[in-house]
Amino acid sequence: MENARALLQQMLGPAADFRDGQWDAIHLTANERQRVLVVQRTGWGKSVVYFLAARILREQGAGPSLLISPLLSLMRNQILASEKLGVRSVTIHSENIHEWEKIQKSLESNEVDVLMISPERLGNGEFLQKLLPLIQGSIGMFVVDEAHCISDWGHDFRPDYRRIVRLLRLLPPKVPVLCTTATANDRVVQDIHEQIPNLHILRGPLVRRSLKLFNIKLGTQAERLAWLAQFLPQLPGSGIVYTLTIGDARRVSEFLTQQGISARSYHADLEGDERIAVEQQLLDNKVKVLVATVALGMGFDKPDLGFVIHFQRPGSVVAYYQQVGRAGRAVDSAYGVLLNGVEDDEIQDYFIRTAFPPLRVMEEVLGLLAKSDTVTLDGICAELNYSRGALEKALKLLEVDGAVQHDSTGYLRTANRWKPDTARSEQVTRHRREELEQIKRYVQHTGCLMEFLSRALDDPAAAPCGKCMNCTGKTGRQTISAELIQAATQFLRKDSFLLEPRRYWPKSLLKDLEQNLPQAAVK
Amino acid sequence: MNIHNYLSDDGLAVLALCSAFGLKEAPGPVNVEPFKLAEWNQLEKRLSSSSIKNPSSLQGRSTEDLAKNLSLVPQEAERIAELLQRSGRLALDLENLFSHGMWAVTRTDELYPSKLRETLKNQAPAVLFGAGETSLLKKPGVAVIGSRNIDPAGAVFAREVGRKTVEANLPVVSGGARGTDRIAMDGAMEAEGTAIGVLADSLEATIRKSDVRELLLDARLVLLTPYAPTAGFSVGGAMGRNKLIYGLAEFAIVVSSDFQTGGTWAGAIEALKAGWCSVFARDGSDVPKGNRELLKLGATPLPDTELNKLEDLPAWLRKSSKPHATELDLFGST
Repeated sequence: MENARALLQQMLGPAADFRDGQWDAIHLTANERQRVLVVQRTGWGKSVVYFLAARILREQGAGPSLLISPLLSLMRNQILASEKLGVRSVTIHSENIHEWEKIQKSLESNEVDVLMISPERLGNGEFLQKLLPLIQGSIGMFVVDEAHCISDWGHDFRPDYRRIVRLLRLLPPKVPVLCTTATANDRVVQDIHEQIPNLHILRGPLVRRSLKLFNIKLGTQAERLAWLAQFLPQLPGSGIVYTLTIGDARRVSEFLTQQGISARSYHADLEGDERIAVEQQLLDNKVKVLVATVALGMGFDKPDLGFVIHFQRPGSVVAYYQQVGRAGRAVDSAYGVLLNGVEDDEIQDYFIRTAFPPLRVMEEVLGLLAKSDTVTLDGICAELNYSRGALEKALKLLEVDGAVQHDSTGYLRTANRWKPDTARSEQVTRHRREELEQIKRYVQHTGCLMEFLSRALDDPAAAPCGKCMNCTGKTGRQTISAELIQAATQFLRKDSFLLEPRRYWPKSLLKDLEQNLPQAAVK
Repeated sequence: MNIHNYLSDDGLAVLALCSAFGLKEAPGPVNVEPFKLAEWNQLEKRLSSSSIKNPSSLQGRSTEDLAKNLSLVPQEAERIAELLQRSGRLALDLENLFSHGMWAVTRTDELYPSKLRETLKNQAPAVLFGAGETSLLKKPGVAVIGSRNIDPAGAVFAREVGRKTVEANLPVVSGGARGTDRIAMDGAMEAEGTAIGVLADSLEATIRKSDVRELLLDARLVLLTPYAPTAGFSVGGAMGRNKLIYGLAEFAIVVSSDFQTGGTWAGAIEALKAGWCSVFARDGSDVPKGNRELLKLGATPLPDTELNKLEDLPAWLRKSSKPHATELDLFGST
């Protein structure tokens, strides 16, 4: 342990020491070669655990560790952090193809300690056939980030995690596995345990002491926009406003800018380098606020984030906890404000209804692929009358189920039989509805808000926080300026709803179309 | 698709030790060699008489530990440790293999075809890859043997054997190649029966064909191979899988064979010597010379004029079979 501590101090300064539980997790994985599930709040320092464990394993002669984590474009911070600990980490994803050659070389010369990939990459033929064999020797350790996704009872449903479970179950004992999550209640922990045998569970308190939680019900979007314009300038430091949709992120950001607040939007439609630039602006406190969808998530670590405001109510208490928990990691006081309005239910209902593609879409996709060789997505879109998004969702589920395989040339039916797991999708849907009911109770709650969140996560340390609006009795509302509401109403009226054109047309359709157009119209 | 239905923990260890799967295509320094069948047979014996007992208990042991407990020279112990070390990468490759509709079983696993294990014993491959419904492997079938370029009379005969085999509710076993193999299988499929294809190469590419895939999905065809799913064609590969065709069958029928040349001849001679199953050869006025010579060497004649009249082919084959020992005697002391 002393060696590891010395290493920590060498990298992070003489005052650095392990936080509660960090050394236990490192020791169990690196020295005892066990399987460990760490449940600790965001900002606790799970990356220190997996990077140091990876380094110790390397010193013992093991090969590089494989870190599986979603949202890899946000892993730059992680890579910088690992460098401070003397750990050489690289990441491979679709947005850094230009770096692959360099990465291949460092894998070949055994100069990589941690390879970070997305769960999707595990099913990618090119990765398995070209990059994976470059790893010299064994894979030292498997790290699974956001491990709550392993469970259907987790708040975040990612089909690719089923692949991870299959993979972990194929590993012999003595290959260390480290699963980490900041948001797992007892039910989720138990479910993960059932799926991955021989798991040690290390669990810490989840309460964030500095956070002051508020819930404010403001029906119309205009009122909420006005509230933001009026109160954001009074909040400490810089922070995040979360919206449920990309459209809302754009709108809110635009209105705030109009009102003289430096705001930028952040969502999945931004290019990789744009996202990086916008993130950096927030990290450097060059903007007051990022208006973001959930795309701003894991891997974003700003210890002095002053506030997290939700423009709409998230789908579950756990998701809310995870997002609001980004604020106040290293400051004494930070604000978490949940605004909720009239459209929340409708949006959440839409998310739940469209989470699983209807059975008939899955069956029609399989029917089409059964009679063909490899088909492109365009080809599938041209044959089946469903939206591209719905088809992609169906293909993704079928792929994880092993019924369909896909590579750069398209999709192909495999020789695995498939039968729909409707019981499972119904169960997940039921669970989503329960979660929705729970967060509805949260916004109505009159007791301590932090305690409510902690209890929802089965945190044994749950207790009244003494800081939230209910603990302090600050339940009154200040009036919002009528002019601001007026301005917001006008803004929303002008911001006519733009109907997004279909972004991709099946090629064949386009060709037919062109043939029927007058020459002048075809460039 | 539950991989653990196919591979036990012991199976995973055997796969790591005996298969090049997961080692393939790795550039850089020369990879450690997986155990050949004869080497594995030896190690398996050592293992079961040691305190380690099971292949899965080899995992995670140091070189010294392995050397001591198995009385091995350090290089061999090192080789075992290194082969097992790749289990992380193997897990990734296996997950992908199963996701693409293929499977792997080892001789220690329950789903390994028991007929093959019993017939071939030490010569039964340690690892098999395959696709399709494994329950089709439970019933020993009727193997149809012959070359890719088959004479018209042979083709008619092969199709009829395929048809009559499945009518008696047995699977047709063949090498899955063009010519005789394919024609016999077609006969079986026309009569809505089942077939076992023992491939010499290219499992992965074969199951991408939509007609093959349809049969696999309908549980009418099962494919297997002792070689890696991506392995390409080689003469050695084609010869090596012959014993699997005979080993999975109760009866083998040679439709057309060249004399003293070609895979059909070599395989049939090997089968007659080893007594893997009862070997028949098509007999008639215009059969190739190879057939006539095989009959001299102990194969049982199946007259082409007879075949059409048979109500129940397997029953006739059973009745006409010679005891295997007779064939062995013909070769004297070899």
